[in-house]
Amino acid sequence: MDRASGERLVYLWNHRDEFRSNSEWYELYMLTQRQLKRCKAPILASLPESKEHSIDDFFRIKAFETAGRNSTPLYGPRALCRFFNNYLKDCLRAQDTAEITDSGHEDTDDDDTPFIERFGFSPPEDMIDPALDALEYGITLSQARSAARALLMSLADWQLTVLAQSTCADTDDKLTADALAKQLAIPSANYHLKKLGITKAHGGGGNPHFRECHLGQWIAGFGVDPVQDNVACIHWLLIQLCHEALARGLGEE
Amino acid sequence: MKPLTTISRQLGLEISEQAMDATTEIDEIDTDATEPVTMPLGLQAMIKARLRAHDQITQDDWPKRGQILRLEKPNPNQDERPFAALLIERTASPNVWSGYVVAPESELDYFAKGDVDLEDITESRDPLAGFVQTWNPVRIAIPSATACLAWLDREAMAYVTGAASNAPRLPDSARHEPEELDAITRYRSIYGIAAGEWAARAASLETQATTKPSLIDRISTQLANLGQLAAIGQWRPAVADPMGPEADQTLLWTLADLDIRIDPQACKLRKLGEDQRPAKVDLYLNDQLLESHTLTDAGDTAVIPLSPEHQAGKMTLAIREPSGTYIELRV
Repeated sequence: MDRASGERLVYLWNHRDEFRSNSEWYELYMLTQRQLKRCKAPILASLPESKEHSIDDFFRIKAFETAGRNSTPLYGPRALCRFFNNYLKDCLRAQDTAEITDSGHEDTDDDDTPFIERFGFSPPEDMIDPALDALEYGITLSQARSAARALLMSLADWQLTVLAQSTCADTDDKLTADALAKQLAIPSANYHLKKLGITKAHGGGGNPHFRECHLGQWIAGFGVDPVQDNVACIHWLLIQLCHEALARGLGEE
Repeated sequence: MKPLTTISRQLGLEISEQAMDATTEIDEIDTDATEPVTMPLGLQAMIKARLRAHDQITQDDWPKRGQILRLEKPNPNQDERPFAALLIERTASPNVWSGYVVAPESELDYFAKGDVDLEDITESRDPLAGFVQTWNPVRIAIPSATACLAWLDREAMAYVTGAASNAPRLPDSARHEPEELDAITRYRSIYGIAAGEWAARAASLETQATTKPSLIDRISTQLANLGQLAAIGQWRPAVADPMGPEADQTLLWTLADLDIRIDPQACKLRKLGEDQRPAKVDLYLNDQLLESHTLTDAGDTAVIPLSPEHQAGKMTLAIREPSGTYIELRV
């Protein structure tokens, strides 16, 4: 890193609690990335995360969340490497502590999970034509697609990305929703996915709290109780949602 | 999920291992500095939320009911992470409020019964204001506050207080797997200890409020606020006492061309003589001029007694040094 960039990094780091624009944060992020990519971090070999992922976490926890009047000052760009290595030591210590298993891990390896199971429902035993079930509830295709678009509009960008590139996607090389959310540096990804209703362990008809999540409420909005008994109609509604998510997700790329 | 060790360390509960400036050998490896850098969506969203919150939340008007304040420990080496709390009501001490601990958005994986997700009840908030721990009441020392992270309206406050009335100390076992429950319980224990530490800080403030600070303490506080003068080199502690042996409680300062010594009995000023112009010192009691001194030559000294009778009233020491710098000390 050249001297001017190093000085700029130190200045921005030490004044980050005064940032009032996106561009200042972006510049600090860029300079932090460049500096930390140059640092040797042997502890990384003992951690499961990639260097890029660790740098993103470091930036969120040590630069963004701790930005305050009393945060530890940076005296030179090389000191940032020490900060980073100390952060990694913390991560290493934490790894030794018993941790709960992220629910996302439970659906990490099953890329071939049938569509409806991605939302925590068991596949229906007999599903001749789900659209007929939907019609029994008086739901038409255009109503379902329109409601899906409204739901998608209300979601955060990353949630749409997760739906389009993971939950709804049928490609072989896709990441799980949990892994993709982590890659996008979504803090508390497990909680947010649970709240949205797309983690296998916490979604679905077997879980009474599914009614409280966004997808459960969306389904209930059609007058359909989001439980296993109604899985055929739910399956059809979720297909319509995914149709719109894929259209929007691909369109935005 | 955020590691519990990191959370407790960031809350200042394992202080000895906390310092970020440990001496680690760092080598550098070459990478392409021109490589484009893309900020992840999660970070972009958090930054956007902070900037929006800062634009929409008044920053110079606290404490008020419903505000979520960021609190910081005074010593940067002691703690990294700010602590946040929702203000419910003022206690008997004007600088202490009761409220609930607020955890950051990044810890939402530990959300359980008794927590209130702020996303559901307020639009504009800093990501440090993620959820209210209504099971975790705390007393808040207002002088530790450095920013307002969110301000809940009446409806949102009603929701929070309603949730608080049903809040359990432990999370609902029906909603979590056993191992998940175990981690949440340990998480709550960490935050319970942190709330206790903040409550102790607030308690010491309440004690101070009931005891009138000593003369020296009161003046020390004012001197500490003269940072601007100190910055331009006009106001600095004296290196040695030029006017004799110092008492236990004595403040020694130099204000440009004046040496100033204050002890519990008297304020003594001496002109150094580097400036030809005179210095002036006035003592006011209840806004009435009580005595006035002009120091013209080098070595001229004024001794102003600070008797208990004087201290019982509203006493002000007005000092104008030769170059025109003027300070007022409320004695």
